[in-house]
Amino acid sequence: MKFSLRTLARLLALFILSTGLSWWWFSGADMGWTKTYVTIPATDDVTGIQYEVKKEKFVPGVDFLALGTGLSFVIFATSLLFSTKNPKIQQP
Amino acid sequence: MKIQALALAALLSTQAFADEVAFDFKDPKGVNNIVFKLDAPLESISGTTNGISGIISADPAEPEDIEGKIIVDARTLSVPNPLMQEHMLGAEWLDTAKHPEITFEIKEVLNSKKEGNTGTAEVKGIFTMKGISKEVLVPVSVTYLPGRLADRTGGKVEGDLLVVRTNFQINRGDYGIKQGENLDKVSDVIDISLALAGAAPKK
Repeated sequence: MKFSLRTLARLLALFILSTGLSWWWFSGADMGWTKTYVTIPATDDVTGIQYEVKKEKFVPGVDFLALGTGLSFVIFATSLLFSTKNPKIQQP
Repeated sequence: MKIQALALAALLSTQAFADEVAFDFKDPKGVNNIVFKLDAPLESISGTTNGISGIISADPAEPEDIEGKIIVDARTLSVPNPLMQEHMLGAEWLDTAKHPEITFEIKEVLNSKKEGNTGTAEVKGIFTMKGISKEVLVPVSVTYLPGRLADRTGGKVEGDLLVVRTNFQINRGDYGIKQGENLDKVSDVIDISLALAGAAPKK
């Protein structure tokens, strides 16, 4: 099965859009900016001071979603420049 | 008579000096923290820092009567988004390369009250950020924990702890941080919460 460049580009755009959306959604659909760490509340037993422990974790935010969506639209738009037909192989 | 008065004054001043204990707020456990929050109409920013040091002297009998200075390494201020952090520490905002310290120096303690080991007071001090100093009045709660340093150090170091807590607000515009700009995304009002424990090891 052969795909035209236009189809390939559109499949790539769909893949990027669905991956970005799924990643963002299943990471908690955070409406803030992308985070590279999260904080976990803790309490010091002796002083009673409440503090936050940093834990490295990538949490995609709306900027990540926008980037994925934008990129997929650019690839989709670019696909319109390609021909719908497969390039014919010239016989000698 | 004059000699007796002088001797009494010397004795009293020595006694007052002896009662004061210096608490070091550099915390190797990383528990000491400052939380800052900016709640703008379009965006809410929350960050923390553990880069805290400084010495506060207090009389254990009157823990609310404190004096000293708390220093924050501005380069350790942290928000979860790396791009936002880069902008926050950069030249346009905090300019931490030129102004690496944020400080609060206690000048005067007002309306102090004591209840057990805990005292409350209003502390007048000089808050300095981005090279600009302003006088602020902040409500402070101070708790003296005698002999509890050993509990934090696994028995390695004997001594006392002093826990200082406060919440107050400042306006970033007052400290030359983009006054009147980007107010829809970065609030002018900054809510600051401090919870710090200082240690005074026994000599």
